[in-house]
Amino acid sequence: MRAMNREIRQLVGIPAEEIMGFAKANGLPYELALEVRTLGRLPVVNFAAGGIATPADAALMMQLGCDGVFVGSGIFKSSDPVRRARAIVKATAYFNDPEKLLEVSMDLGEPMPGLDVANMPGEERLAGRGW
Amino acid sequence: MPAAAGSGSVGVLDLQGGVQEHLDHLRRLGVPGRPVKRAAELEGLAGLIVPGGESTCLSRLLTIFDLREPIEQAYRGGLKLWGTCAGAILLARENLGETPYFGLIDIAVSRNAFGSQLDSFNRAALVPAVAREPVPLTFIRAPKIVRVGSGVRVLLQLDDYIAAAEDERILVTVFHPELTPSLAFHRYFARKCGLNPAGTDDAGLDPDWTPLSWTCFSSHA
Repeated sequence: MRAMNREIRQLVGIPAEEIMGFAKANGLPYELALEVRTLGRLPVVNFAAGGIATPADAALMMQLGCDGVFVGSGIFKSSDPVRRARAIVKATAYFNDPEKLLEVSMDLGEPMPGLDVANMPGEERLAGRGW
Repeated sequence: MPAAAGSGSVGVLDLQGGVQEHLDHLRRLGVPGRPVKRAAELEGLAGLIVPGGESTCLSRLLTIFDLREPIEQAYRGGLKLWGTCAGAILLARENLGETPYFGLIDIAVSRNAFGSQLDSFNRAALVPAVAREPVPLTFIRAPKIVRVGSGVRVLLQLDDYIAAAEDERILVTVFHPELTPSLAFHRYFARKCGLNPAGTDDAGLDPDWTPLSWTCFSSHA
């Protein structure tokens, strides 16, 4: 999401004569590049999915500009799915309200167990982004 | 106390559904609009739009987010309400075969009355109370209003169903004016709220509107 935002900002900032080059370099139709440049975002709703395990994860993706989140395993592989689902719904709606986020993040039990990206061999990583 | 003419804003219930589309239409009319996620945000509003979306989802969120009672209370205090599509279902007193939610306007609705998503459609119609020219209408898995009580005025009857109706304080439309270039219904609702929106009584077609206009209200644009 950060990479996408960076590239959209880049597209918005470049002079008009460079749009064609940008479109070519990114394998993107020229008309779509123009549209994204005008809107300053994707022309479709963008949902985050994959790896969202906590209310804070959901709020982070919303703060980064997603229009919504899809959560599957993050709920069903946690120790208390009902409570966690409720908390993630609230965190998505109140993503800009730190007090609400703190409140909904309390007493949720164990989250979905995850893998630490730092311990994963390079060839098993989907992308080199993140920390 | 009711808002003085020309002051006050219109809120759009911001839990799910066509929120940004409604905010964009209000902006085009020069009507101050704001998203409403919390009970405190109902303060000072002249009207509230309950947008289209999915009515079961919206009803559950209204309950989980503790907004049901505050909205009912604001309504008793003079807040005007407009339900589009799912919003109309939530405001109806009777929801055929299901449990009504707010039940504030004496109409009966039938959910998904046109069929599946494939049966969604556009058409145009003259709604004399709202505009002197026909306005475009977009029906998306729309409900039908199948009965209105004696205190409810029918604004638009089509074929075998009622598509728009109102009482003193509530407007209901089973279609989505926020998904068309026409500002006429938003203008009508703003006037119902005692505000002074821009425009006369034409179809209110905004040539600058596009199906992507709402994106200017997305959090990151």
